[in-house]
Amino acid sequence: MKELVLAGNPNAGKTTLFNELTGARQSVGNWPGVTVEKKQGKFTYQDENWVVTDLPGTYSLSPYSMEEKIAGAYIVEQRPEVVVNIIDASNLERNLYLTLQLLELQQPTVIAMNMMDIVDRWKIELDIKKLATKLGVPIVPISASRSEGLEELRSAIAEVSKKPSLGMGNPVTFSEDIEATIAKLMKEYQLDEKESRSRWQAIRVIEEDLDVCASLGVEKLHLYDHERTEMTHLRYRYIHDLIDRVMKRPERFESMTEKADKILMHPWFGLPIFGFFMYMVFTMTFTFGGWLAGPVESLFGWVSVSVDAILTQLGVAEWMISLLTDGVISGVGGVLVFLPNIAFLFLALSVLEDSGYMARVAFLMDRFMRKIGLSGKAFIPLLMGFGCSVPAVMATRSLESDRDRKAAMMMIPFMSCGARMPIYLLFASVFFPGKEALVTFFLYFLGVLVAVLMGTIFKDTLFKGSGDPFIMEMPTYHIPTMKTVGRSVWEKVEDYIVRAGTVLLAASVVLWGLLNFNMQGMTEMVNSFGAQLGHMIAPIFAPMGFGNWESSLSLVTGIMAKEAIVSNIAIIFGMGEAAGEAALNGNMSGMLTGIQQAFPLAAAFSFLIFSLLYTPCLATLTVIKRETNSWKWMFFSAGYTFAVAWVYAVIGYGLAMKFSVLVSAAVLAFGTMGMIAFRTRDKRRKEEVEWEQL
Amino acid sequence: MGKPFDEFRRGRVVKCNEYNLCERVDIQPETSYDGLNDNSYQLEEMRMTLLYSKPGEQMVVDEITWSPGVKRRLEDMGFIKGTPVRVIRSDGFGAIVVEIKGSKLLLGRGMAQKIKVKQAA
Repeated sequence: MKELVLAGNPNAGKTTLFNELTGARQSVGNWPGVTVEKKQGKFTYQDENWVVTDLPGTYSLSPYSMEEKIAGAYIVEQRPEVVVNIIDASNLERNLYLTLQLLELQQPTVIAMNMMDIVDRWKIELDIKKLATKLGVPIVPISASRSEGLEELRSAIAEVSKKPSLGMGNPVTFSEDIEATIAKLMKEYQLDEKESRSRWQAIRVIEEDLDVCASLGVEKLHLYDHERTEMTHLRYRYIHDLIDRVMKRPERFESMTEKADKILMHPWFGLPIFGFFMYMVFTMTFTFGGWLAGPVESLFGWVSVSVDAILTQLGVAEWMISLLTDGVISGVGGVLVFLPNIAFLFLALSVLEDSGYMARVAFLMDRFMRKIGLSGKAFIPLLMGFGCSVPAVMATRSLESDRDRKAAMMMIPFMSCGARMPIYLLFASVFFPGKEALVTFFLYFLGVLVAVLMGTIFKDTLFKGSGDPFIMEMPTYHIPTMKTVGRSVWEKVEDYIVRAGTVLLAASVVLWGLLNFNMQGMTEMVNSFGAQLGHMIAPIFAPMGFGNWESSLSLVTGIMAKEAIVSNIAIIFGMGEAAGEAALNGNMSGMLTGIQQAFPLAAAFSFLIFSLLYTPCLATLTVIKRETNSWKWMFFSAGYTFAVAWVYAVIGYGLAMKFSVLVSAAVLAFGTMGMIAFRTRDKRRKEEVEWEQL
Repeated sequence: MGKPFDEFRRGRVVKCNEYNLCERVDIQPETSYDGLNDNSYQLEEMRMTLLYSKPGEQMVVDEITWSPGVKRRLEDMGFIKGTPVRVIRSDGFGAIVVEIKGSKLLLGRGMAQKIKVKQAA
């Protein structure tokens, strides 16, 4: 089996080409030791099997970030048969920089020249043959999005793999000084001149690749800062000369992208337009997702009933049936009900991402996000938190620095997700009839305020200092292809099912055990471990006005899944599942009396605030654990949200005991706003110095 | 926060020492342009960064005053001494948009502040 690696800039169409080359035969994993995604796929050409490895999209191979290090090291160590470098022909100057660095690796290379259609549209004349001669590698014009030129690309790959010298290329010869330095280094570290990687190793020492330096035993660093800058300079000058010879550009004219940006990035209309897009995304997510959620729910209901019936007939023990239906099926079903929502949310977001619009959103939101110490890019994951925290946490992958990712992850749980809605509706209709919308709006708003406040606090404590050096290319707009969007949605859906599903399965079983057993064996819920646990933790909730074991336990079980709180209240308060189901469907009458008895008005108010803010659900925590690769952050997220919720709920309860609920709500909201204003005002001068210091 | 240009007129600039520790220095507007005041030199210097370049004006990259890591990153993106660069969008708050090496880049204010530029000859 032969190996091919795919390298290229972000936005050059690498993923599209990868999908076109390999079709459905893909597998996704991580590069060893890091959370950078590693994709591999397979294809067969002329009876030869190929493995395609998709390298992370990078602008260079300089050992600056994780991705760049991986890309360079993988090619040198793995020595694939062919390196395919995909280039965006409409952005040649920047793309060729990576190409030159790839040629320095001295591995057989083929260039896939993508987006030739744009070049034609812009009336740019590009002499590909001449460019191929100059660079010394075969260049195949393709259009990845229209599947054109793939056959030619495959045949070029096969040819180069049989005769590697065809694709060795002519790497840049640097200036005399630098060539002398390279020669000196090769001598100093006894690198074999005939070995193709020796020169690269010497270059890497100049570029300060710490891994290469360590393997060669280089001790002194920062010796070649000047040479390094000079090398970059020479590469770009080489590209400049090259482009002058092979490309003829017409007079500057306004491209479609520039015309579109005049509207989409307009100082006044840009934000409203973005708001409209987001409104559409959420409407679509909830409308279409909602259509599908119903059938999924009925499916699990049906499965549960059938399993119950079949197992009863087979004479299986009752506890076993209960475990399967109440524990496993309802637990897993509860999660999968959200799958359609998640799929649609990702569909919409991946269209926005692939089209190139997200870079514009980052621009529009940067001014606001800077106040909480994040760059504009971090806005998207926070926004997704209104849908569901799980995909929102997953979306933080688009942020570069660890600090920004963690800060965003810690704020996301305060964005009130869709699963918390039933709680608001239930309590609002019981205690504040006729004001459901107002109550719900207040809670969403309070959530955002708390998230922002936490952002301003984190900025000066946990996540101090500079974030991402914010630099981002603004790609030309593209119409995303079905295949690419489809694949990226499927990957996320698959991930959600597998990872969240397995953990939730285990957790469901544990909860079921807690609620159905005590030391003596199977028992009624009132005597179960769960009830005992509820009694034990009830004192924690007492200052908020609801110190009974039932509400304590339903909140704890709410960590399983927030939407479960409503049905759990029904079950735990002994109102029967029917009432809980009815409540979820909007008929609260069955639960009215029970809840009204259990909660005084002020306690209901604090219960709402607490369920808005407290510990995110297990699925979210699991994803945080996976994305940060640390238990510490998972527990921190669980703990600090609980603390924040507790403080807010206790204050809310205290206020609501003395004043009306409306006044208490206003005090909480304005108090938080005041604190945000105080923190941002206080820091304004300091922050200005800070960003200049960055 | 007002527009950067206004801040210049008000004479508020940030002075950094060789260790990149910065403090805010107030310059009197009356004396800032007379060429004699020591601060005025800094004022001019501050103006010559990408952050304070006027949109549309053709500039060239002069120097990157940043840590070696970020400097290298910027160099890889094409910010090398002598490279033509043009600010396309600068609103006085939030990120700026520049055109360099035939493509458009978003730059955070912190980044743009550290890229010194000169008028294109």
